Amino acid sequence: MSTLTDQIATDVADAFLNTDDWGEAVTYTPNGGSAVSINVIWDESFETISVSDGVEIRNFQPACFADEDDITGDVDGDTIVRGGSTYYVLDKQGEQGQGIVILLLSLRSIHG
Amino acid sequence: MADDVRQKIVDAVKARLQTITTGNGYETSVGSNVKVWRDMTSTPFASGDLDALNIRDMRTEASREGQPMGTTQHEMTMHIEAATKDTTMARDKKLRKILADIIKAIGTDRQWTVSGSKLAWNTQIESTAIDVQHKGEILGGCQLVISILYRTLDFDPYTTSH
Repeated sequence: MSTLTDQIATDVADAFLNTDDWGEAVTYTPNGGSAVSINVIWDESFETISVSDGVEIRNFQPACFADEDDITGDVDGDTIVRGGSTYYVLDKQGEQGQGIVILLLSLRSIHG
Repeated sequence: MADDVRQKIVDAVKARLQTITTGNGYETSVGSNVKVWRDMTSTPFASGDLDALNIRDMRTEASREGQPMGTTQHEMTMHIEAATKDTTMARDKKLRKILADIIKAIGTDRQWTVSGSKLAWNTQIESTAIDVQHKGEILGGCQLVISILYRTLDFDPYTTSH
């Protein structure tokens, strides 16, 4: 009998991130590693960002949901290519063992 | 219809800031998009609007003490705010250049002379601030607070007094 963790992992791969359902394939390159194709759920919301007292900018915040087994270790310097655009991974959110992690992305490198 | 002195000063500040372009010898072209009292709550700048400036004449303190008979001194606190999106230049460096350009532009005439008439007798820099946010893109903002000192005849906001 499989554990709940195993069942979550199966659901993540077979249902949530399946490209026949909500998922789509992108190219993920860990810093210093090789590019691989992984499935993610893409999310791009708009939000108002305050950059100084009295200065507000409405801007998009790209992010994606990915299988935690595809994203291991520190994400600093990792990139994702989607539709010809390169996104830099700013942060990884979510706890190990929950199946899915959220990657916060930017068109600009934090080192740029 | 005549404009009062405060309106004339705001118009003069806007016109001066609009001269901030690289073609006029400045380091940035932030003067290409200057707004007055853009409501940042309901209509924040869009990423495509940048670079941009916003002017807000926040408050004016009036005083008659020590002034020539029949005149009132006004100290107008004006906020000049800029927003920028990083492209090729490092974001923090660009913000400092924008601040420097604004200060340089103000310094070309701190008495805001229009058609040979000085609208104010002095302008002072009160404070500056910058901030950077890294979300979908790298966005930066800066703020310059200035005080513009001008005199009018008592209860006559339309007539400048020197």
